[in-house]
Amino acid sequence: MEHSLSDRSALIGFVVVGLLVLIREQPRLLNWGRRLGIEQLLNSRLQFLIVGLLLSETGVGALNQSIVRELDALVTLGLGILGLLLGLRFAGPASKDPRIVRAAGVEGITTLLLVGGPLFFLLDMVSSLTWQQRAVAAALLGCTAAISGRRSFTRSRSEPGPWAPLNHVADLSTILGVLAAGILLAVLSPSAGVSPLERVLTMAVIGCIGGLGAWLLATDSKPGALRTALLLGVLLVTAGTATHLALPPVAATLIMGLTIANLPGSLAQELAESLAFLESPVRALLLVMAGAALPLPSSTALIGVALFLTLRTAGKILGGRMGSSFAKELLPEKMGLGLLPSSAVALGLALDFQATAPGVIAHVVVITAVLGSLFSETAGVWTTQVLARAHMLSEAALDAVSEVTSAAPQANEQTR
Amino acid sequence: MKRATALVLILSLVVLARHIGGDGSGRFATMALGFVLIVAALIGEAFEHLKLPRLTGYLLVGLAFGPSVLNLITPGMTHHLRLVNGLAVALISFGAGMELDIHKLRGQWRSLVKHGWILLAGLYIGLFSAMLAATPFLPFTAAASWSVRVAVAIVTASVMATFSPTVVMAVLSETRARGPLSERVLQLVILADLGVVVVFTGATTAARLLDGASVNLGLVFRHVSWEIFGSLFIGLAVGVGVYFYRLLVNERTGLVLAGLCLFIAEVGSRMGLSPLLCCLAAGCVARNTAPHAAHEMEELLHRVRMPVLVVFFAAAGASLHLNELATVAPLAVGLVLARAGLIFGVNKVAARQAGVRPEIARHVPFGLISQAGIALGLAVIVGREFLSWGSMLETLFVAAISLHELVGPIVFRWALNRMGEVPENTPEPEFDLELDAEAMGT
Repeated sequence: MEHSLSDRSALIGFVVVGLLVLIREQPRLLNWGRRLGIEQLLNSRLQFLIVGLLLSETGVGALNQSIVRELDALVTLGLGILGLLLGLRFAGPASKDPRIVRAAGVEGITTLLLVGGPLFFLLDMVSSLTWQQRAVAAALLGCTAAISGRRSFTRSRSEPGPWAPLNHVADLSTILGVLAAGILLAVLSPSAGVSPLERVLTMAVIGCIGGLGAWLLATDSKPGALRTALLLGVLLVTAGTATHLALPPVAATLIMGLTIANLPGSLAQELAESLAFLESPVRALLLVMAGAALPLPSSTALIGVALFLTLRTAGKILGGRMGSSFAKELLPEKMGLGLLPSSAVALGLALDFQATAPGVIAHVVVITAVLGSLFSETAGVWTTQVLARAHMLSEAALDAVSEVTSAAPQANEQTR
Repeated sequence: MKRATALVLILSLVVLARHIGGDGSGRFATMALGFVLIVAALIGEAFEHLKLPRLTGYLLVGLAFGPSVLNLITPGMTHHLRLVNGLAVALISFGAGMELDIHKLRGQWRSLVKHGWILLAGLYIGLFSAMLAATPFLPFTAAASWSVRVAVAIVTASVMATFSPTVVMAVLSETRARGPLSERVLQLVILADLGVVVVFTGATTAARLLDGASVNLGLVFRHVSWEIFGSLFIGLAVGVGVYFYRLLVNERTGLVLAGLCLFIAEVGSRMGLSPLLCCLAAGCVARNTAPHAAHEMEELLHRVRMPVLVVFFAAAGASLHLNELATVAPLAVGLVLARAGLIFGVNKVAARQAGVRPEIARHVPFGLISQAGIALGLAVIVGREFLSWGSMLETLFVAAISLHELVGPIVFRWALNRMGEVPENTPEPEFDLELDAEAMGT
């Protein structure tokens, strides 16, 4: 079979990306990063965005529209994996602690409103969008702003330490943001003869059926290669169905993950572990695709990015302060600093926006979401370290935290 | 019951999507791919319980869902799968290379070469003679000139005298078979694969000359040399790279191996190399420079390989041409029986000359029945190169190869079982979280 030069270049580019992913986290390279003062840049994975920009049509042209279409299945799978892994985190009593849920809800909604509200008016000053378009753009950006990435607050990645509740808040905020964005995108999606409510319900049904199917197959097989293959198959069907019906795959697979996490048994953690090794390459892939899809930012767009970041930071800090009041013994007052880092899911949503939202809105949202996420990743690592150093929890707080985190494995034992 | 319920639920999603959104877009291919992956993986496991090869299950699922039957996998969708196909061949070949222990081979080298060349020469001559004798009775050569008949016979021999390293490696990998039969069959198919490029190129060159076309022999020689020696050289270099990676870094080895295989599959094809030979050489070097790590690397590759293999063989099944099989069935069956008879007959002589133990020699032919991607690729080339009779011959080849592809793994697995080389209750490799954490960096 003959292949065009662009085909090969794109695939070679992806393999280079894959190797970069693996090399990026080598201790020796990180040591050099520290010495050169670019550790945060390495952590932000900015290099993958640059690779995407270079491969795009404005660069060497390797990632043109036809190649991107050929990689559709891979991207759909990647988006599906992100959504599923996010949903699977909503398992176990620790993440469902009412105090944590309230704190996350307050923080997420505060951030969403604090970003979406002002942007609705500010966009009027810097762009010529109609009020409906501004509302949609502001809402989508608000949802993206609510997303927070997990962080290891200690040196050891396997030991979350006393910051597990903060990770749960980050997860729940992200779930809230993705669900809200998913509902909005489902409403906006172009489906003739189907009402917005029906589209939202269809997305929910797709996710629930996918989750139930995956759960049934997983409970009937042992951990191993077969179970991974079955899970990937269900993921492809769920994410593919959503994409085929012009619905956001990230949200559909998030619902799939939530469904599995709330069904009997302790499969959520096992399934998450069997797919976790794909998360890093998927992030890199989405960054490359986002870079390739990134339109050249105008000065207006850069102003929008700056506004977004400012409002998001304010929202996180204020929302964090308000949210932590619902769980004073578990969460530090300045938890907003620890929630500034973003997540790869934000990039997945940006790609979804591009596919579903009208062109002008997509232009604004994609640039803002991508650049904003990268900046948050970079600066967010520093703010997390500030929080970790500044907040030495009292003994009583540590005891309360360990009570919550140690309840999780015991509850899992009871449900086996 | 749970699996049936799950399949019904998932099928409902596919039906819903098809009903609302149609099936013309590339996005539908993603769903179809996912559904086929699920069904093929489950059928493969069922076949394992029946002591049949899993990949036969994958092939049958692909056949059922392919254009010939249910048409869930349309011909257009196979275009989306080329990335998976390349990766699958590369992963299988790398794994096969890791089975080649140089120290063991040293003691068997003479026997192997003798066995191989007598077998291949005898098979080639036998097929050539049989096809030449049959040409007066074939509809597309009955009225042809003597030179065309000889050309047809030469090309037939060169295509039918190939084996399938992919299928052999896949059967050995899924059954984890170990023993003298497994080793000898694997060595023979690899040896034959080294020669297939030379033999086929020589045969088509001769056929073109007999057919009255002009040929640039220098170009042909350069092409063949590059494909064989270039592939081996690149593969050796990659294998050395893997050695140093394990020595100096040794993190996420599984993903690195998979990434390298994909890299070789894509770059190699572009550069006119054989990804199969490249990965074979790379795997061989990786294994022999770090023999203590071979088992670990094989386990890591197995986890990455399974979903890829399921899709690969399901896609292969979808591309089996049942229609063509129906039109040329008697000829195809005749060709299959002739080839099988020659393999058994010639192997008897070759094995005796090579000093192979009789109980092993009796079962070797079962591993040589399979034909798959390589043979299909050669058949397509024949169809393209020889305008007057090539397409009809291609149809005959495809039909015969389809039969070999379906039957070959079953008879090979049966032979392995008879020789006791398949471990009882072949364990499904469970995730060793510690191994995974090291290999995948989680």
